[in-house]
Amino acid sequence: MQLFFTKKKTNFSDVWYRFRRNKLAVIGLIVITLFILVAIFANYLMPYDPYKIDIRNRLKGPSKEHWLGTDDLGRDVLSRLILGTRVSLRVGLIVVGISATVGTIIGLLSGYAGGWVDNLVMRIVDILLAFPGILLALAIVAILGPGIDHVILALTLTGWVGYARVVRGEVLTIKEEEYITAAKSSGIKKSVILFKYILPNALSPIIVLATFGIAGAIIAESSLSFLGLGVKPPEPSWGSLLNVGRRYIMVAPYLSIFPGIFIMVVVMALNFIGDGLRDALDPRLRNK
Amino acid sequence: MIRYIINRLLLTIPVVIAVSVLVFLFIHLIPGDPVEMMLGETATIANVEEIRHMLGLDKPLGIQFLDFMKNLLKGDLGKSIVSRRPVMQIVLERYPATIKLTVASAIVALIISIPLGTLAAVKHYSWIDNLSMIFALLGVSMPNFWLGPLLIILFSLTLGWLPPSGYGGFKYIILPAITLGTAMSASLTRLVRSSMLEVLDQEYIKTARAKGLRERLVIYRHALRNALIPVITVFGMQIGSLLSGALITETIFSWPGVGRLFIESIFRRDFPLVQGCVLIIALTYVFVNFIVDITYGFINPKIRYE
Repeated sequence: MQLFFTKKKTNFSDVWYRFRRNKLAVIGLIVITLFILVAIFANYLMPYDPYKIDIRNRLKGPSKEHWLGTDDLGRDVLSRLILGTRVSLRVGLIVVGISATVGTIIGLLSGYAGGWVDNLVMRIVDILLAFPGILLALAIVAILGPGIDHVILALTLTGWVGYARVVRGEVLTIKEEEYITAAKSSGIKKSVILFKYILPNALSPIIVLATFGIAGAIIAESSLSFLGLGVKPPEPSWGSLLNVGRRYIMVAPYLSIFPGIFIMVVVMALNFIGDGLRDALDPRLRNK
Repeated sequence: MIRYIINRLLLTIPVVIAVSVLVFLFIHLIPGDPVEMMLGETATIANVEEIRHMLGLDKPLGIQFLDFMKNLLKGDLGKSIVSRRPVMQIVLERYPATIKLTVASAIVALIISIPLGTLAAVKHYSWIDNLSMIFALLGVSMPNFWLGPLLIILFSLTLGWLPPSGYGGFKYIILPAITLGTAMSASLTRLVRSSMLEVLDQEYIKTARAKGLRERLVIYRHALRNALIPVITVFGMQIGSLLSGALITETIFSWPGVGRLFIESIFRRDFPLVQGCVLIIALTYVFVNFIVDITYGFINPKIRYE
């Protein structure tokens, strides 16, 4: 039965083979793996206690003791950057995890149900898209106050929209395919059709979108923290480190350099992986 | 065309209403008492009552909503808690600075991307092509809240050429405009290049060349014109994202626009002013998208009938 109803699945080893041939994507994957390892083993990698204040040594430039210098409270910048990696990656992963799941479910239901349900959901999507990116997230954080949980909530509330839209579009095409009609006429339950037959075939764009989405979420969190509306001090994230850098830019410009490099490298790596995945999962899209 | 414009306008109305409702609800979504939150610990009971009355929060919700919409149509957004001046007046004072910055950034984006993308395509696989692709890659991955400080370090701190912040003559807008425009110019460069490569491969370009037209004429008169159509589409779509970028760029450079006002009001817990900023930014965004859509209708008649 299964054989007839499921479109030929993209073989994992095929995808991996195509992905591997994309050099930039492989580099991206290696870079991200390194950053994930840094986040996991942060406690062992930090040379100093990232919260330890040492006012006598404040705003000291890079030296043998403090490779990346110290911040306005004399804390070791390298240690805070390493711990910040954990915070920034965690926010990125959680935000995308929740938004992709919620958006996918909403998109599946909306596209499959059609009619007024679909209409209503799409109007909500339109309205949320009528706000420029970060504005809504900022407004939500303004209501709730800063803090990492509020940032995650704000970014998720605005983040699911993209997934819902794409998944809905996929569902609209897939549900017209013969194997779905066949499944329906054999009396298979709707929920089974949705999650077992439609979802796997809509998975490629979700995976690609999620990869780019992690980069987007990391930038969004950094933006909020940069503005002082993200993580609460003393917790470090890449954005909040840049916020300190901005305040002392005239006396300690080195503070603004390294967190930015981390953000850019991670974002670039994720974009490479995203491009690679898109080409590998759907060779038709190559070079588009 | 008129019918297309009216249709598009009708689609905009529910969005505008929804934006207004969300902005109205904003103050009611604050957990706890918004007035006590705004005034902080120094609030006296008389004070709280006064502000509550000023904001109309002592009336039933339905009446508040009707009042809000009625005032909104009159252009009245209430008064700032901090300065007690009308919100609309404060926001409008700051509005031109934001528009100036956004337009300047869009110009930066176009000045860089069109020549660079065209050159990259015409000299495919050359060093300039590689350079343009590296620029495109760095530009889209570099967050503006990092690029801004880097530019300040280079051009203000080290070279001393340009002021690090402030508002005034032409030299004050250069760094903010580059900061805000770079991401857009990076993605447009990539697009101009790929669009141009595609066009240069078309039969009519071969025909033009076969006719013996000079290469320059082929590129500017025939190829670039057609290659720019998808670029205009994406350019329009991204003008909106310049508005969100402006929130951050204005803060970096102490640029006195609506974006910085918005962030300042959040910190001061001046909620009526926050509402005003959200409303004006969202409405500008909706308006820009509307204009962009209408423009497509002119450029590409096919869209009108979809």
